[in-house]
Amino acid sequence: MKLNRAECEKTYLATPEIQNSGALRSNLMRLLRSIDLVGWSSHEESGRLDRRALTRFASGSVNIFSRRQMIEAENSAVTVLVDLSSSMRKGVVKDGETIERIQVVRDVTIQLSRLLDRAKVDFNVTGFFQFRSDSCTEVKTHSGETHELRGEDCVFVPFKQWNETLVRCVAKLGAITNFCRGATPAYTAIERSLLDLSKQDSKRKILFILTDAEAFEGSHIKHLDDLAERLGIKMVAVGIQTYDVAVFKHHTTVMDLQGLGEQAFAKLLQTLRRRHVAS
Amino acid sequence: MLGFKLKRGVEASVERIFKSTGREFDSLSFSWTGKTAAVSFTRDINGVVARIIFPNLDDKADIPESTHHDLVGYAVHELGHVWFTENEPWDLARQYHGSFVGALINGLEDPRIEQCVIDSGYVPNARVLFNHVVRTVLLKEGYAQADDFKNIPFMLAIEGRRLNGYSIPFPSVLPDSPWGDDLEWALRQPATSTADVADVAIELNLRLQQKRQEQQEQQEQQGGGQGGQGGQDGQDGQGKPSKPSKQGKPSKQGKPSKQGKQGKQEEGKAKAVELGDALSDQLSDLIPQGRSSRVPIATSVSIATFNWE
Repeated sequence: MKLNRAECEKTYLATPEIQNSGALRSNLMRLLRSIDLVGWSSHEESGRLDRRALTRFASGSVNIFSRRQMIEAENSAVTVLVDLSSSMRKGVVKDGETIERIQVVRDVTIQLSRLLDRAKVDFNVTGFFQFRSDSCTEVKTHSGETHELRGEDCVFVPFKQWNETLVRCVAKLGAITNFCRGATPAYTAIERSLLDLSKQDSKRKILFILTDAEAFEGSHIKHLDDLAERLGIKMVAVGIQTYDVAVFKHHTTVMDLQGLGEQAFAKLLQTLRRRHVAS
Repeated sequence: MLGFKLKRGVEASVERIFKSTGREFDSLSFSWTGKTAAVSFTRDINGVVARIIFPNLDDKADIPESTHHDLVGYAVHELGHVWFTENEPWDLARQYHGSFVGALINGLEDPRIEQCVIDSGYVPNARVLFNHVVRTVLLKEGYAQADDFKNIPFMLAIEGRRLNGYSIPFPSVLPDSPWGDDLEWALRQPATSTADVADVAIELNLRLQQKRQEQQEQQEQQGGGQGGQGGQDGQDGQGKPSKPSKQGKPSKQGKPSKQGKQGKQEEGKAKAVELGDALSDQLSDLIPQGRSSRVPIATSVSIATFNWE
């Protein structure tokens, strides 16, 4: 399938700002921004004379100097994982026009990308789908035993890779809706994304999943949640018109497509705050 | 070492070892979902398409170093099959002569391919790795009951490795086995390919079945003697056959107590021929609890490309 670069770029540029999200975005920005903090230490025995310590100097104290001190910023790495299964084509009709889930997800992803880029956060945006439904494979070993495996043929779409500038990905992000097809290989996609994200050097790591998948296997997701915790990754699932994401430890469900951006940003902010306090 | 790191390490090692022999996989996939280590592969003009199965292992578990060595040993063993095993004679033999012949082939083929790997020099420390795996399994599981028919493939696998020169921590059980002579005969046959091994296994199966039939007839005779002909077969009643012809070990074959024990064991679980089963047990506490048996696996992961006009 051929993609029209100019059209995709146009789509990206035409993406509207999410309504009522000004405060959310500025709060998110403040939390995600990676700035080295510069301060002054006191009670030093050498350095610059601290005028506030002159009273102590009068009483014979010698540690009356101060020094410049730098606290390294906490860097963040974020993976935005977008479900591109065919069910994302579903939507709601508004004013005679159908708004598909994937269109809203594309807009939210673009807004999120802009915000993360402004906050100088390392991030990648990856879509995933599967050409055909899960295949049940029976593998026969030499000893004659058979194992039943549910095969997931996962296709990743790298809309924005690590260390790639947002400017270079404008057209790719605008083309998100063109890749919508097939089934949802959720387990494989999340597992691989967690392992990929764990390789990043950043202190804070967040996996942000936008999906409309249903009937998650609870024990599998719990396993992934445990893996994320072990790897120091905060995993947040945003369910689009589905309550089934409740199996994730951190989740939110958005039933009204118009509110997706706002709720997604709010959930990310909430997760970051919790993380921020904990760290 | 964390489970997922170990998995990636073993997977990378398999690819690297195979590549170092000047060959490449056309497609290679791993499944950490099995109960045992196994390989399923096809070899054609384009290359090798292989799927290697390892025992299920929790990504987050802290895996001891000895298990790491075992897994590498298993990986090299499975690579040995890819290098030196031919599927066709094996599959045909199993198809026409039954699954027990398939298990016999496995028992004979495993030591053969391990010796081939050692001789080939593809993996310089192959002998050490294989030895380590066998020792770990035997020290944990113990050796097989020599008089249990179902344990024959396992005995072949272990005794064949003893002939390879590994240090097996138990003395040979073949002298105590009712089929010891036949197993010894099978292990001493010069087999240079899987087809040779299949021929030996088919012949061995015939011998074993024949012997088994004789045992059963003898048992029936003993039963009959106890029932009504006590006077004529008085000696049989005491468990000693009058003339045990064509029996390698008549004294052991004739003992009713031994026969009874054998019958009981045959109803129970046989010692599996695959050494990987022991590893699976070893790792069973590391498997995530509550996960469905139909675990999803990534049969293929690919990256889509952007085709711009």
